[in-house]
Amino acid sequence: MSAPDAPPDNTLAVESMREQQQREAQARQDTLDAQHRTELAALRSGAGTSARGSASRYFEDQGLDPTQYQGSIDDRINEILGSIAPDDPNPGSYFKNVGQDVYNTDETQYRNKNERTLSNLFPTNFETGKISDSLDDPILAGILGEQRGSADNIVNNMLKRGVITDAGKSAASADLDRQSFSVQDRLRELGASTLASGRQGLTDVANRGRQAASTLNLGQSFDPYSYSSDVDKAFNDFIGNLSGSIRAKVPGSLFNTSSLAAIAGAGQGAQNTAFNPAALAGIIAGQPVNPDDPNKPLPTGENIF
Amino acid sequence: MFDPVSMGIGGVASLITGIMDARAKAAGVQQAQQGLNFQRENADRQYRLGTATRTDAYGNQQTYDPVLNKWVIKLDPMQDRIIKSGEHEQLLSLTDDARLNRNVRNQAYDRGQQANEDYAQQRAKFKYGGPPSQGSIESELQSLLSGSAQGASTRSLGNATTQGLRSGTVLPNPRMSSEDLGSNLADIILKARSGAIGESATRNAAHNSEFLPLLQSLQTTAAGGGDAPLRFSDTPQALAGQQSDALKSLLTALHQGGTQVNAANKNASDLMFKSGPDTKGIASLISAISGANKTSKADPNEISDDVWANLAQQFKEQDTFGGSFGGTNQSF
Repeated sequence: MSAPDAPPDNTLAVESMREQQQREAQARQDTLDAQHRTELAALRSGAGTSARGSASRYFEDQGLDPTQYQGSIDDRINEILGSIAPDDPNPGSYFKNVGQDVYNTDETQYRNKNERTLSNLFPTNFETGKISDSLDDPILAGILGEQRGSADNIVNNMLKRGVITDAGKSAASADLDRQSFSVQDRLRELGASTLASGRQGLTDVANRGRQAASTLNLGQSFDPYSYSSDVDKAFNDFIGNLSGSIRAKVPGSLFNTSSLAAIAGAGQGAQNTAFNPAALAGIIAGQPVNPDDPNKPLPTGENIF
Repeated sequence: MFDPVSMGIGGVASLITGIMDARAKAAGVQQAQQGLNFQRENADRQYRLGTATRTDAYGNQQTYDPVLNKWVIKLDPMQDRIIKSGEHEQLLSLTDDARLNRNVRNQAYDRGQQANEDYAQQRAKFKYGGPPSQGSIESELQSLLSGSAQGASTRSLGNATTQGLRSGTVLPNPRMSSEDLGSNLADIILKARSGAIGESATRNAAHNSEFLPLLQSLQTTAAGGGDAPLRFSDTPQALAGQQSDALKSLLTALHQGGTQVNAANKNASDLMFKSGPDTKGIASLISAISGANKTSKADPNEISDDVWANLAQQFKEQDTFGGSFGGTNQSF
């Protein structure tokens, strides 16, 4: 009786079968994963499409043409899509209020752009640069000269009438020189406040532009350069009226001439002048005599007042 | 010179000393065994204590099931109702309340959006629609005061001239009148400046009080947070804490029992390795007797054999040392 044969060694076959099963299981899993990825990609794509439609409707509700803002809408949606994890099963939740977000972003950018343009047109302290402190100097000098000329006429007339001598005139002129400083200061005060008023006018125009730019709605037309034109017009008006504005604030004669005779008399000293009836009558020496009555002034005589 | 009597006396003395020493060591081993048994019982008590059913003041019971290896919680009926009611409220807060809160928050968001636009409008008015500068106000006041003074002076001059002409008295001097008016310019400037300072401050205060509270209110609304905070369940944290406490308690009890049993085992084994008969006296006695008359039958190992057998049997039952000490004293 022979010994039984040893059982066949099927180890290799069994191992091969096991590996085959593993490969098949892996293939099935890969197929499922691919399907899942495809489904997720479809979900993401569908969510993006739906969000584009939603955003377009929002712009239409605001009375705007969404095609004009399609670039912003697409950028925002692509940005959101890029931030969603690939395995997120609910990509649509990331697109809530996307239309409003795009609208707000574009509106803010529109406002910022126009505000920046206005800032370039009207930089800080532009009004001071446009209306400088020395702008009123010629006008103030003119007013001062006029006022001083009128006061000088008083002194000259007193000299011509023989009320004062040259020494007295010099004393009176010196007093007027002293008064000039205070008159100049007062005029400068009037000029400064008038310039401040003009600057305020320019600032008001610029601020109207800034206010309008900072509250612009998307789609609303806005021309920042129109405010620049308004500022130029306000400036020209101000310059045209500057002299009158300052002169209107000057209430009367700024030099005090009522005491000039006394000052001149003190300056020239005591003198004994012969009585002159013509002087009593207000006739200036050297002028033509009234043929009807030499003691009366000519009808067209100069009024010393 | 060999003296068998002296040798015999010495051997007997050594034999007696060895027997007494073996008895003392055997007694030590028995005490160590008793200590081991005590610590085993103690560890068992600690384990039983660690897994004992726990009852709190409300009557809730927490029991350890060794078969299923889990803790079983049996709640008092009232506590059971309370907890279930709490869970129900918690569920409602996470479902109905959360939904309602979400609606409230959405409405707050809408209000915030509108308030944001209103805020931008009012902020622009506040920032760019402020009152005129103090210099501008001063210029206006100068014009008004100067015009008023000129008007009054003109009227006064006209009245005085009319009166002088009618009465034939001295007529007023227009130049002097003009100079009087001009001398008031400093006063006009001073009044205008004082008035401008006060008016500018007043207008600025009015401007601020008109816009700042409104801006603050709009800012709060624009935040859009509302007053309905979301609530989340704290059950996961509570369960984790409960399980952690129970596990920590059980592990502590087991660790303490195991440590004490190990210490007792070590003590017993140390004593066993050191114990055993002192055979120096026996060897001397045998040597002496065999050298003399060879009649002695003394067996000093009789007691030790019993002790060794007893200890070996106990360790074999415990299997504390993995069976390496499972034999008799010959194994030692």
